[in-house]
Amino acid sequence: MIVAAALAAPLWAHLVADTTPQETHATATVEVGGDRVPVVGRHGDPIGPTWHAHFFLGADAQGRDVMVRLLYGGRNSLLIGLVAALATVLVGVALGLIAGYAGGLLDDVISGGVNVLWAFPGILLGVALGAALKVNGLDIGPVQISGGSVVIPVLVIAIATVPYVARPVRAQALSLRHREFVFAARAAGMRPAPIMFRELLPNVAPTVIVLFPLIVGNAIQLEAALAFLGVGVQPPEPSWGTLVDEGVHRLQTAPALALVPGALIALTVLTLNLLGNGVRRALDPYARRHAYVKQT
Amino acid sequence: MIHFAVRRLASMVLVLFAVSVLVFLIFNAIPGGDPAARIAGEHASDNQIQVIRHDWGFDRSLPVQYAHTMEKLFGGRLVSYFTAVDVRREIWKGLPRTLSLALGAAMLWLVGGVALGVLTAVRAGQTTDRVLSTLAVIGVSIPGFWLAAVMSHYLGFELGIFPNAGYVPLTDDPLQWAWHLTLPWLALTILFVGVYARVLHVAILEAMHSDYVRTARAKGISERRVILRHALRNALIPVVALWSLDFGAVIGGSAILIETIFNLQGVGQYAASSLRQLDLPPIMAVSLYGAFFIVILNAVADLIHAALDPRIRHQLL
Repeated sequence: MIVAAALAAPLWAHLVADTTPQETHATATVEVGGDRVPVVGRHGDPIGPTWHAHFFLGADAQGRDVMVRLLYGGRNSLLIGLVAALATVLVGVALGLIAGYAGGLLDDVISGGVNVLWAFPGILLGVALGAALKVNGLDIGPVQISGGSVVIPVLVIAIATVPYVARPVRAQALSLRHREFVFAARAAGMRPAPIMFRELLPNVAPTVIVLFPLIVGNAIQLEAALAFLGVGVQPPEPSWGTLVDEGVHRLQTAPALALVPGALIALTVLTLNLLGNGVRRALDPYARRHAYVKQT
Repeated sequence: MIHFAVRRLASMVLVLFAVSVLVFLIFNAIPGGDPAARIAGEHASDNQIQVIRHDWGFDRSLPVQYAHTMEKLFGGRLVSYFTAVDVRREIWKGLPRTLSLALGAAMLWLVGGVALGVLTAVRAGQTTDRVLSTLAVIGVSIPGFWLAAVMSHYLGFELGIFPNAGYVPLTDDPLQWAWHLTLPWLALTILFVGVYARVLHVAILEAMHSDYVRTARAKGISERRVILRHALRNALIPVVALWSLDFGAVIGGSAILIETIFNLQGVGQYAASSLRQLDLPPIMAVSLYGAFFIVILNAVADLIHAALDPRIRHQLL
């Protein structure tokens, strides 16, 4: 439902609220119950929820429509979470399979690198990378990304969370590589790349599928935390994290500004975590029995 | 055990070196822009940038740059070009605050988690298991910084039950120290306690099916004693392993968010405010020291773990 709402954000913005997420209405007035009320009061206090088409959830200090920013922010948060998680899974599975199957020096190098990333808490690595990238962006030959781009948080989160996938996949590939079907494939003359792709991948897929919702949830949370610290999505572009950041200082006058986006993050991540648990139970009957071991 | 300790410490040194290389690469070698200008900050003069370029060795080869950077971070004076303050002195000043936050919270969630885990294991069943899972998943799902901000505002500011942010040194007034840290501790505890209770709950139930518990029961020991003396002891092993990881993650990560919200002015808040100004030397130092702390902590935890449980020595190598 949250996803649907986020996808419908432009519809709400254009048809109902008649504004954009960045547009400010600091000097405008709005009609509430027959009276015209200024969007931003004399002391700089924005109006609260009107429950009308315009400023459904009120305005922020710059007179921007909170509902519209919330929807667009949700789009950004979900999109960043999803894309970062996809990148994490792609890179993590590739690294894990190669390290686990090839073994030897290649494994040492890859596992070493992954373990070094693992030594950093996600936030710390995110802060370091985010800070370094925010100043000048990234410039590798033809690829140029500016410091304020939405691609930066995606990149940062993907790098910081790769170990969550690479480690379990490597462990599985390691145990699979001595199984009969792998020997059979090798005896049949299959080359390493097809063995990894066609023989090992289907076997590690359930693990990755179970992990995926959890990784998306984790990515959304990490993005929010980074945005809160100022190295995620850059204002005025909204994301749930930047909205909490902007709203925290106005908890007294306009509590909805911070409460609603934070609650939405919690709800979304909760849903993803429950989905992950559900998928695990569905795919692994043993886990279901295991989770409710009864005392004998 | 000595063989294990030597190998574990050797691998620790290797990881420490790799961590330092990674930090160096993140800040000095990311393509795009002049690293000297980046470190100098936004308002630096050309002259200043020239000095920094020479000082940090940016006009030399990469290995030389690495050596210069590490010398700056560990040996020489590391100054913020933004505030002209010595970075390591600031970190040293904030350290007791960060440790107070992390240690207190970690003790609280460990004790709470163990108590909850044991209580629910005694009354195991579908309902308790569900309650614990729900608690755990909620703790994992709530954004910590948001929870902290909401708690700080409503319990601290609006209702005035708890002090409204700030820090009192332990040596000044131990009671006020604890009182000012109660809310931050609680916020972190809410995030972690469910997971710990659940991990312990499952581990105890698993242990209840083991041979040594069957033996203990056969000896006619009371059920309570079986759980507390036999099952719990072994079940605590994964919990303690998890605890050292999370403790490190709080010091090196969550502190950045939580300290800022409660204005504790520890190392984390120093990093966060440097981040707002894009003042890189403090961020470099905090990243490197934080990761070093965690790597060393994990090695120590593994050694203690191996000393307690000989089986681990083979698993970890």
